[in-house]
Amino acid sequence: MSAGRDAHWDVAVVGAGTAGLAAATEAAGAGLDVAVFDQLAPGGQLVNLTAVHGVPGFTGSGPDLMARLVERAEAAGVAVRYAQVTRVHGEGPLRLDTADGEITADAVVVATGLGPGRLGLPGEAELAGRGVSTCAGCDGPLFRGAPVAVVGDDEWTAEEALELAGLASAVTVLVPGEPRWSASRAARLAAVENVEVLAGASVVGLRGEGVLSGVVVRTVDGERELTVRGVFPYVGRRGPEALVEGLPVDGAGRLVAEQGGRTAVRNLFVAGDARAGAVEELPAAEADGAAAGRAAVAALRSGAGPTPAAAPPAGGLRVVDPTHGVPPADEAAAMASGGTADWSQVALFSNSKPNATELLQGLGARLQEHWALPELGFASKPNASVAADKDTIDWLSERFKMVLVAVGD
Amino acid sequence: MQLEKRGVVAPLVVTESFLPLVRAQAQAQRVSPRFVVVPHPVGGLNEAELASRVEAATGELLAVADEARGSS
Amino acid sequence: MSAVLDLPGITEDDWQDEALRRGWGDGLPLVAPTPARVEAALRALDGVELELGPLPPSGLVPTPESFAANCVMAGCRPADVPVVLAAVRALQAPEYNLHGVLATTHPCAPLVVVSGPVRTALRVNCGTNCFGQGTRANAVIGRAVQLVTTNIGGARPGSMDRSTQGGPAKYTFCFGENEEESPFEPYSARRGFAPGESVVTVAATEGPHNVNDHGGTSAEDLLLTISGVMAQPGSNNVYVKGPHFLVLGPEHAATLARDGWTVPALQQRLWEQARIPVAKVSANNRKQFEDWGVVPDGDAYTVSTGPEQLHVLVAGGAGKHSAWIPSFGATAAVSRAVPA
Repeated sequence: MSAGRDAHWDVAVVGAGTAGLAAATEAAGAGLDVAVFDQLAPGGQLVNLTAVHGVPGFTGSGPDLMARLVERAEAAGVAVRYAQVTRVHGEGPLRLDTADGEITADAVVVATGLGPGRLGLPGEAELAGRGVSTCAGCDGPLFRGAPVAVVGDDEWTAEEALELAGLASAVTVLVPGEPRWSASRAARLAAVENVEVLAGASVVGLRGEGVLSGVVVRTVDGERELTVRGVFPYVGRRGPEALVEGLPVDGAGRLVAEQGGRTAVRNLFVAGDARAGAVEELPAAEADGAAAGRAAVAALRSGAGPTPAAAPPAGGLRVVDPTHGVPPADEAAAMASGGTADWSQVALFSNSKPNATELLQGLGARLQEHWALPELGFASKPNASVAADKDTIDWLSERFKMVLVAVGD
Repeated sequence: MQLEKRGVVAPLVVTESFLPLVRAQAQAQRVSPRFVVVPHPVGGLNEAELASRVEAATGELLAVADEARGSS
Repeated sequence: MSAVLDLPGITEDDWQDEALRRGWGDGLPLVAPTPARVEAALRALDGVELELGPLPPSGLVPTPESFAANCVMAGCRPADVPVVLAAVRALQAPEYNLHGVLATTHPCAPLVVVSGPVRTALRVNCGTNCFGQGTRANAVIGRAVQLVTTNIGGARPGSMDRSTQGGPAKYTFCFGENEEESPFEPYSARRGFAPGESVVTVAATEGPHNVNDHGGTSAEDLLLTISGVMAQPGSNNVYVKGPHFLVLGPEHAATLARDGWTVPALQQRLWEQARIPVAKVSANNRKQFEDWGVVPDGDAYTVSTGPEQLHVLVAGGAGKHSAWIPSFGATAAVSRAVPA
């Protein structure tokens, strides 16, 4: 990221999920310079959602909805920046520590959502990715035809259980207390044959050597072992408690705020699931974000921060969009896999930049060990500044099932 | 990305700084690649620094790889 | 996405801020591409098909309207638009490697050389201060080319355009060949175009490096200075190679011609004489060159891959200066006729 141009924003939004994008869109629409920061892709929880429910007028996947929200934000002039914000300092002008250096902003909206679920049990970290997962949309297919458990009591838990029901042989939803999800989700859960909801059930142990084989469930009737290949915890999720110094948080580490997401720190707002008392539903997150965006605009305009440019006068300019273009007419049809390779055929493909090959070989070695592969194939571009030649691509696609590619550094 | 179009599972190893660029290229080519993201830079690192990059990215790589293998 | 945008509440007065906020500009003031201005610009392309393909990295094909909108924003007069079109067509030749050019960390800019009668019609500066400020055609043609790739291709600085430092030539880098004061056959003719044809040549290059030689009185004197300037261990021409340019000031050109030098002879001689001693390159950098398949020719590295990679032409006014323009490397010089 270029530090010079991106060093200061009117409004910096931390987290490009539903609430963050709504806040950013609102503030940019009011004519402010707005950037939204996210560690990876924008979209927050949406990215992991295969089917979206509860958003009026929308049917489609989480990524589809995310794309729509991002497009709307960018059209409003929001800059999307891929950098993790590790700390927000509230003394004096608001300063944000990011992976790419410090930036400043007149107002900040924290919309990080919640961290991943955690059971807090011994062995949990070792079994992560080997049975313990927090994303049904990502890891669900690994458990096709196998029994799984989902642990939690909220809307998200129910949604993930419904998603897994389409893949797993059986889904047991373990609710530590009573379910908090809506009646409509309860009805949808009840309508699915392979889902069982157990209230008053908590997970007290994980079973498995190397990979998960079961969980120990405690209910009023005592403890028993439930055989599952996967467990998806949505309990123990924490808000961004350590992000802002000196802000009060609730028991779940969520930031406490008043109307419009205003916090105890001047010009710092919180929106979405990161806010104490938030309703964990998409329309609520969007409304919450928009309210925080408006509150930020109002705060900056009322003189609580540097005075922004005066509101544009009525009327408007009509221009021809200089970014407009059309997709090429003859987009090549996707080619089917020509190869007969199986999963033992894995190769590395280097872009020939300094260290790229070494990095790939290091990663390749780990994969080779993980899958016990006899050997790895290797190819490279003649140099980093040219496209890969067709013969190499042909060779790779015919001979290999998977190719690890170094593209950008 | 051309590999993915031909049905080969081709995770892209990319540094954080180049992720937006590669993502835009992918969007342009209408593919949704799998990413293994490492901190920038890679060039100019010594052996120990490189080893820590490998270490940090291994978890993500194996997860991406297992997922691809599991869903095929 | 609609081709016409309404910007509510935005007037010509706050248009600049709005355009820059949307990431549409290069930092300098832009002319608002109102439908009326775009229509006027498009009239210069009456009966001309754009013949443009998708621009990387967005993969979008420019429409006549969006192409013209960028010309308008850059400050083009309608008559400049066909020259911009020829340049963008040239950038799209596969050998130009536009994708690599836009995404590289190298500071290259699209160099635009204008040849033929269109230079006079548009008053393209081919003489004094031809690389510099002060001439509308030079300023707006180069700028429009850059805006098209920035806005429609989406190669915005900092996100898609990854240049480590960039360079001032990225604002605009356009000049005309001083055919009138050149002792050589016009560059466009040597590129295979007919006399009287207007031609644009593009290449991805650095900005110009000065060759100052006030003392030399012979071709040999000048060749020593020129070859010295070209023998840079830190240019992409050493190991990525590619086309580079020697733009001779008319006075240097006259001295070389007086002593009997032709363009092919200059190319051959400079190929042999401009060498980078191995001792000027560190062992680690030599290894990097080797990884690219580049090894020294004896005890020195060559500049690019052969005499033909040096493009020689004449531009500028009075004075004892010439310029060497190094290449991005993984690119080619591409010429296209200006559509009539």
